[in-house]
Amino acid sequence: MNKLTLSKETKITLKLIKRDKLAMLSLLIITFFIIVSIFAPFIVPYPSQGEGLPVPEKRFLPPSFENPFGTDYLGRDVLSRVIFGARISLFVGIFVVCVAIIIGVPLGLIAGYFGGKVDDVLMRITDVFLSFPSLLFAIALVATLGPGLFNAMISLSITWWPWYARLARAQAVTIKEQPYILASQVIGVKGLTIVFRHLLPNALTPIIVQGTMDMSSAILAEAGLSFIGLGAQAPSPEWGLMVSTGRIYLLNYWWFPVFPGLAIFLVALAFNLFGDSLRDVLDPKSRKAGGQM
Amino acid sequence: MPLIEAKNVSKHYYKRKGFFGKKELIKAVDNVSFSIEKGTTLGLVGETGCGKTTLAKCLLRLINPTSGAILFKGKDLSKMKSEELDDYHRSVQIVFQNPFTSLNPRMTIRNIISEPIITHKKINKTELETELVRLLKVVGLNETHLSRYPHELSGGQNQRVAIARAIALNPELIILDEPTSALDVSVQATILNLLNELQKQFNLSYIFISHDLGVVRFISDYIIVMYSGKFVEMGPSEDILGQPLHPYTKMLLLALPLPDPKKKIELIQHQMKALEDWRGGCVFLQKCPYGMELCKKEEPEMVEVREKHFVACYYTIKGDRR
Repeated sequence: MNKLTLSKETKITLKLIKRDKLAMLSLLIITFFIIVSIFAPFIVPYPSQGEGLPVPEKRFLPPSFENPFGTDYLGRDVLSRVIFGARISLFVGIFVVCVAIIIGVPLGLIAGYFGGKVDDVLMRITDVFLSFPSLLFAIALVATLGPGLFNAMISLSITWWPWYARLARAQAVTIKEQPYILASQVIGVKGLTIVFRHLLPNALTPIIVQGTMDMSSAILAEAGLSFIGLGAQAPSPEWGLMVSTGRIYLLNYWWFPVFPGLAIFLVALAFNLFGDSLRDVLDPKSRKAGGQM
Repeated sequence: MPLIEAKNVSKHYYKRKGFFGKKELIKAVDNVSFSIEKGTTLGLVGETGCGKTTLAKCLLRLINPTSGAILFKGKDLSKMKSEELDDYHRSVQIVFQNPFTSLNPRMTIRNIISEPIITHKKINKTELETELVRLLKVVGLNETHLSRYPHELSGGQNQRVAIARAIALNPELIILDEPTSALDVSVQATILNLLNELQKQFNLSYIFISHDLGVVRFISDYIIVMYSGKFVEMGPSEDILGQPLHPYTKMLLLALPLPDPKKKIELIQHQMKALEDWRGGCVFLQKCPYGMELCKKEEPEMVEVREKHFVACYYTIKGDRR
């Protein structure tokens, strides 16, 4: 009786994801990066170099058995640094998306549910944010706050929450006409309680999909900010920063910028693919095409 | 004193034709009055789109009527203070047509039925649990259903859950918005029986909204027939069903349910058109086989022809009945 009952939706979703090879592959890559970044200090060959300790006598060694990804301009093991970088990138992705969701979704749901003046005010505010190109806006914000990883994350969150507000508002507008919402209103449940008790759980699906897809954009944007020197600062093993410092050596010592670049590419691709198939799986229309359950 | 009394209630909407078009007035509910006594059932019959649900929403305070007053035990709803409104929310509940959309799919039956209780009462966990089990027993379910989700139950079971939620606060009036039309015929009967039993047990009043006269006949003491936002006939069930007066009621009694959705859409469009084209006179005129000159000029008023039996039709009142 008290057994853990997954909802039917969740079960079908899991089943369909298992069937989708690309989704499984991307999920595998994501899980791999997550595990690797959690245990980074225990699995990398040179933890101290990963964190930034220079080893002058081993500069620019090509990939070998000892240094599978070679060494950089300060003699540090690139593999160790890429693995340590995974920690930063994944954290940035999760942090930026979560903060954007936490700010944007409640505001969007409230705007959509209450409508009228509340809606007008909140949506005009999001319009103001959305009228700037988001990366440009983020750059302006970091420039004001001062360069640094944390400031970069904050500015990315600030530029991104309006997208979630828009998405959540659209959801709220459709869901609020559902009879179960009317039933709660008849019972006399207060507006805000309805928003969080009934609207939020039922509006979450497309928001999760969007969040997964945005994870890659967040990682890319953060790498971009670091690349132009506004994000993480040396000696941080941030991928964008590594590509940035390594790019002048691309022709002579290709392994220095290429491996962190590859890592960015892989993680971004994996999140994108996973988000894509999650969207397909959660969309009832494409679910029908996927065969009967 | 009647439990609920509606006095000249209207709900009008504006519809704009095109971007620069004139605003047009749509009278979804137009100048209707009725009252309902405690412990009785009022059947509200009419085609889809005739304003039944709009009227119900006005009664539930989900929308405010454009004009007119709704009195609850003699008090005007629009002038109630928040505590009185709380009391009103406790006293008037609704059961919807489709039990699958009227229950939140992400909530367990336990949470669904607890919602009205925890909203209005401070209650501890064990008391709540015994109350939930009691409610489920009343509607013919048991405690094994508590931790299930709506999609794990059948339509009939879900409708029982919706009824349990509606009676959780011991209401005095339940609005039943076509509560059986989404269910199988065999299940319909059991739900109707349950509603009858509950009415006797708790002395409930019902407003039973339906397009199906057969179902309404089974449960109502009093029937109102609605067309295009107006009441056309109202009276005790036996009178309405036995000796219908208004041509529309007669047509309804002759008509069978329409299984063809296209027909349904046509009907709605027809009523919408009738509403838009209305330039005075009787709303039913276009479809009426007995239309007279008088019907084009003036709008018929409700007239009491027999005891408690009202009809709004010049043909019935003045015309010769051959």
